[in-house]
Amino acid sequence: MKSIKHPKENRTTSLEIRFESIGGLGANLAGQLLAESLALRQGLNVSQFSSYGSEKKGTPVRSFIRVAPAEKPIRVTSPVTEPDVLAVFHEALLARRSTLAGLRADGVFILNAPHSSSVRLPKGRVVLVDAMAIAVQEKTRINTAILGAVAKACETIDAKTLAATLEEHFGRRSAKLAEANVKTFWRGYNEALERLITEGFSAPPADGATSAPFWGYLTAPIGGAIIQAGNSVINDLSASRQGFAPRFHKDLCNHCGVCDMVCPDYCLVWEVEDIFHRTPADTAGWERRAARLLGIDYRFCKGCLRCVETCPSGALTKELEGPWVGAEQVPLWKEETV
Amino acid sequence: MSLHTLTKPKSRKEIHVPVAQQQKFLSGNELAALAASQINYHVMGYYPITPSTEVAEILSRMKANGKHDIAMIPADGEHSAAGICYGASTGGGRVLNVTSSQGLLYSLEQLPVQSGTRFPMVLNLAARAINGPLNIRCDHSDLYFALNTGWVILLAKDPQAVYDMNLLAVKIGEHSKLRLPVIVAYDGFFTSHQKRCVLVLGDEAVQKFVGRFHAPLTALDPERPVTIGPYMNDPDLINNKYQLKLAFDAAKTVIPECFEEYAKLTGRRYETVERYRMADAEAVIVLLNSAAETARETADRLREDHLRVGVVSLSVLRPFPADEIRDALRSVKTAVIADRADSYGAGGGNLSLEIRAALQADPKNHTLCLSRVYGLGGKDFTVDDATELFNLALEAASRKSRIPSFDYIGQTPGDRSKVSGNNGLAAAPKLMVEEVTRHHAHVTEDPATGRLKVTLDPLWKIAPTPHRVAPGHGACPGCGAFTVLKQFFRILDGNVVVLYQTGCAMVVTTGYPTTAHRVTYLHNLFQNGASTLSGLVEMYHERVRRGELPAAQDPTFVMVSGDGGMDIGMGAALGTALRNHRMILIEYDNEGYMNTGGQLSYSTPLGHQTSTSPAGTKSFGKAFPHKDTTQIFAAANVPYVFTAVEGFSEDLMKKAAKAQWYAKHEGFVYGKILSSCPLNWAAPDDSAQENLQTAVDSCFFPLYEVERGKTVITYDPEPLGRRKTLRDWFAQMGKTKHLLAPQASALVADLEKEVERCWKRLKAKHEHAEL
Repeated sequence: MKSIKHPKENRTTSLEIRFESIGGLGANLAGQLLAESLALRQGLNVSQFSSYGSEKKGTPVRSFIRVAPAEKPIRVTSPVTEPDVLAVFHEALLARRSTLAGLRADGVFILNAPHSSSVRLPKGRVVLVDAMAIAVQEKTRINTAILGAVAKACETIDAKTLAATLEEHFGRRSAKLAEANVKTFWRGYNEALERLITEGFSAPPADGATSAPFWGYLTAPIGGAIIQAGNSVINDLSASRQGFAPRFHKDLCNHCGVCDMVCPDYCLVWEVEDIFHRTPADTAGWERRAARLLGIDYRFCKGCLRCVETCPSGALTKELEGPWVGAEQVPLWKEETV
Repeated sequence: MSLHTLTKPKSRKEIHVPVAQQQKFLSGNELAALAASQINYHVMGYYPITPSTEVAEILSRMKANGKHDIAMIPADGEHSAAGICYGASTGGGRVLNVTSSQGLLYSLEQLPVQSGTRFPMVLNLAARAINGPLNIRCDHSDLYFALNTGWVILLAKDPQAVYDMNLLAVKIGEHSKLRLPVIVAYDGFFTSHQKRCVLVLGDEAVQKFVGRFHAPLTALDPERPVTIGPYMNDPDLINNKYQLKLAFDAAKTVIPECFEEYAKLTGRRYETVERYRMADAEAVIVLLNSAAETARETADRLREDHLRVGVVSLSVLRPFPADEIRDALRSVKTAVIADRADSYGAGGGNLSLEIRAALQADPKNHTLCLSRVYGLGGKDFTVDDATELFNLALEAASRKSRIPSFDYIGQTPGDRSKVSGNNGLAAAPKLMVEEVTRHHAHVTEDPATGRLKVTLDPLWKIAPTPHRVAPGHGACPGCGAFTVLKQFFRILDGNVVVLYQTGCAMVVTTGYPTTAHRVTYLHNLFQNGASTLSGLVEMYHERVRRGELPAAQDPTFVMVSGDGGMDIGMGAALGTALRNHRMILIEYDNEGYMNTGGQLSYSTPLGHQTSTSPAGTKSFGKAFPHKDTTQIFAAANVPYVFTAVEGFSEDLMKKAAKAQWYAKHEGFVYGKILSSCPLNWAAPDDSAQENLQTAVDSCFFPLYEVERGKTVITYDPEPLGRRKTLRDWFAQMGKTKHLLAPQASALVADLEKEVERCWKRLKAKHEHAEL
């Protein structure tokens, strides 16, 4: 018997979809509703699942759909590594190499971003939809707007059928919610803008969809111990924010410290004048100017806005995200330490 | 791209069966719940654990709307859940439990009792890796612990099989020749959470198939008193076990009969050993559940290259279908037997060992067997992985070269060159103990009152203090647990060693390979964090006594638990309190099991909605009042007990200072700290302050301390004119809005009365030192 190579293009499914998102943006629900519509209303054979850990908002979530003709079995349970349709719910996710990995050359890439976005785009069919703006206006969530764009980009999906699925689902909670979501869906559908990118980069290969572990069995400390204290500072959690961020107005701040008591993300940056080199006996001599709030390290801010809620002097306000966030970033530590 | 090729088919393939079946699009967990509701079990005892919890959640929602009659009992841990199930099963009705991983292990000692005393019930196991380190994803390391328990084990490879096996489990277990409990095992996430197109029976057809349960004896028949569970030594026990052995012998014929009956009803036929493309197969892989599906898919593709490959998998693991295995593998050249769990040191996983043993009994068999372990801790088993295993089988058949009999696939060696230097895994700057020892609180003993007096720095002085927890943790936006931790830890001076009980704060700070902890951190099992830390405390003092550690190190030992950890871990925590170890236990109470998706805990207040106490046409949310954990610990007469809330930071921080003083000087400290969970309270992320303020002002969560037995209320809203009603509080959260409806007024009146009673009692204690 001869040895074999790994089979390549040999799949039994006809359409594979991957949503890349952050917990709380509704990608899992969007995947479920799309899959349900394809399965129960369009009569196709479908599987759908999401990859997520514990039940947190703000952590990466991926939702997968496989579609096959009704008579063909779907037996693969692993994540979709070579999607025909790849929808990305948040621009910040593009920083991860795995986000675009395996997108087929003849596939379509859908991104939640304004049409004017200057983000670097991959080669091929690209659809931009400003789902955040639509959701803010309609007081809904971005997931149904993105579904609209997905339905427009993918012929297999019957948009009217999907709209009916959404209406039924949200209608179980209230007619108003159903109406808002159906409207959001059709706005996503109509406002999605497709372009053919010829001068773009190629999506990374499929094996980039799962990143190799940092440690291996030869290198990891035994027993699973983590010996680099506090190395969570390498994580960037900007993508957890849902459209808004706290903005710091230094001139209004009286450095009272109330905001810091309630910030769960430990991202407020203070300037201290040499406090910890003093002995406790000196503390009486501390002056008020010894502690000054300098700003926010937005890598760690998840946009809960509890600091805004508590600020007694109006020095922290709720603002729509924009380029100002990058401009006003204040790092907790200097680059060379992190 | 073949997007255009899909058209709506005229109709699904017709199967001629006697009853109508409905098409659904559901996951394994959803189907386990649907089957349970149709069977209409009498009792379900359960405890939340990922990834099986959904079953209880779905059944709770259905129950809230009158869709079934199952008495749903939320236990205080899996050990209790299994006990509830055992007790219920002796009463002659049908019983269901659902669990995973540590849940199975924690209830393990109940399982042989269930089978040894011969009370049928059904346990759904959404298979998941066992600790440690903690992993929530699928492998079969939990399942293999059940092999020796005397339970029938049915395997469900996909969501359709989950439904089917749940109906079959009732039929098989209750069979008069068996009377055995049955596990239905399906893969966590791969099957539990994957939605598929399935066919289900109507309620009546299900009832007809499972029939009525006739227990030969029950604990609920006063006419026939019965002793269940006697004390049985030699020479009798061996006979009891031989009866169990005979039941498993009978199961070998009963199970195929039940499968046959089910096939006639539904058109879906299960075999104890499932063979795929085995007629002329020379190179075969043998594996269980969802991975076998991937292997079948792979075999189809390889068959197109004329490779004689096949797949063998099992639908029944107990009784082990040895005859059918021998038959299936008789003319196979090589078989790679792949296990999703290792039996460490045994040279293969349990499936592999048992198949090798089965073949050894067949003198005609010359199959070369290789054992491989794959897919631990949820590592995907892909077509590429299956191909690798087939390749191994083909190579072993063709070559004389030595291929290891036992190995793993899918492990990563790692890059030794990366180990030095930071390589993107840089740590936060090292936290110096002097840097966090700021003496923000000044503690003195007041000899007149016997209480401690604390003066606190102003907040602006405290705010710049570095954190013992680094940013970059993965908690939800607005998470109150991290506000609690920040306020509490900032006040502590000197070295700190922490133990986090299983829960949100643990999971989101230690996702490998990153940790947010800048001080030494431990995690152990959900139910025994307090005992674990008490052991470490005593090790410290003993090593100091022996001169092995400097006394100057003097760490403060702090255990951090959620309210869930104080349900399952209550016994261990009370034991630790009663032994009065020098340590602090703080509980961030967010009124539910938020880490697993917001199920009820015993701290969830009466009437509040959670995913296992939803409001519906037949329910107003949680049906029993919250646990007064603070008073329980006060009754343990430890030096210091307090309540606090993250919205009252100065009060909280003063109590933190006292906690450290008492833990250093006198012993055990317990503090319950109300902590906002915007996600599961269904409240905006930035509404925490007002929300927590109202919880305190309505006297639902009074702020007080019990110091050397003396109760002192530290904030009284009444003289300030701030007293609010419970309704004011309920209006602020999605989980309680239903309580504002007129239909809920009786329940709210009860709760108001209870809150008022507790508040008055607390005030009496505050005023009278003897109370």
